[in-house]
Amino acid sequence: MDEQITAMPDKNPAKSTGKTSGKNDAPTPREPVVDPVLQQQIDENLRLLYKECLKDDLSESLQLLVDRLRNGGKPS
Amino acid sequence: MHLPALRAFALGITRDPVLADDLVQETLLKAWSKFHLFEQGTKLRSWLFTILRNSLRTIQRKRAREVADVDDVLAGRLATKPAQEGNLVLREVEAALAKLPVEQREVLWLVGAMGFSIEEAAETCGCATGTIKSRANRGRRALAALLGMKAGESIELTDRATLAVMAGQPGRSG
Repeated sequence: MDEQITAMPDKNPAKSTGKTSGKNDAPTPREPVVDPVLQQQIDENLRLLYKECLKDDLSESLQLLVDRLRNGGKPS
Repeated sequence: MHLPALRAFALGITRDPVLADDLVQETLLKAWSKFHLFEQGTKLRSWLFTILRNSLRTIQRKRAREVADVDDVLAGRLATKPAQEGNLVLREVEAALAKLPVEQREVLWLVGAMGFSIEEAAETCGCATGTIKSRANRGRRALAALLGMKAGESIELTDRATLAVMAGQPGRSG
């Protein structure tokens, strides 16, 4: 519970400059960019996957917790 | 309420319903107890997803002490998962997604699947927008390679695509 929960920097604080310093994430000059049409196709499949996950019912324990929090009660 | 989205994200990243529920529960409890730390003007959605993401990192660190690679454990669960109903093409996409490094997977979920802007994803992940763009690009490229996708072609259930998903490795981590 003591974990910091505001946005935490990864290894890369260069948010304002848009530059990256993490060695695995630094864009390389010749890194090929995904074709926009292909990107659309991939994202469409990801959206379908996401919608499918949304259909999953919440577990009973999770629903109970939500109800308690909504009612202002303390979670057990 | 962002609960269904949180649950879907957790499930998408971990592919483990039990772990996903644990993560969402922990996220709700932390958000509840730490709401005074929420900065007005920032997006509640980003804040909640940051908590969930950090909780996942904590769990991964704990598990890393127990097993060599938590992703291997999760992949193992995938391998033993019973056959699911639903779209088989989506199952291939899901399996390919699971092979990506978690950093790429979460960015693809946030940006590609859930429609987060690059800026919001950067805020959620606590990194630069360039990092998000790079991870998204690498993730999409790896997915396309694993699924044998080319621009203008729809995904088909072919032996080539299936074998690529089963045997393929993402090019690079990060």
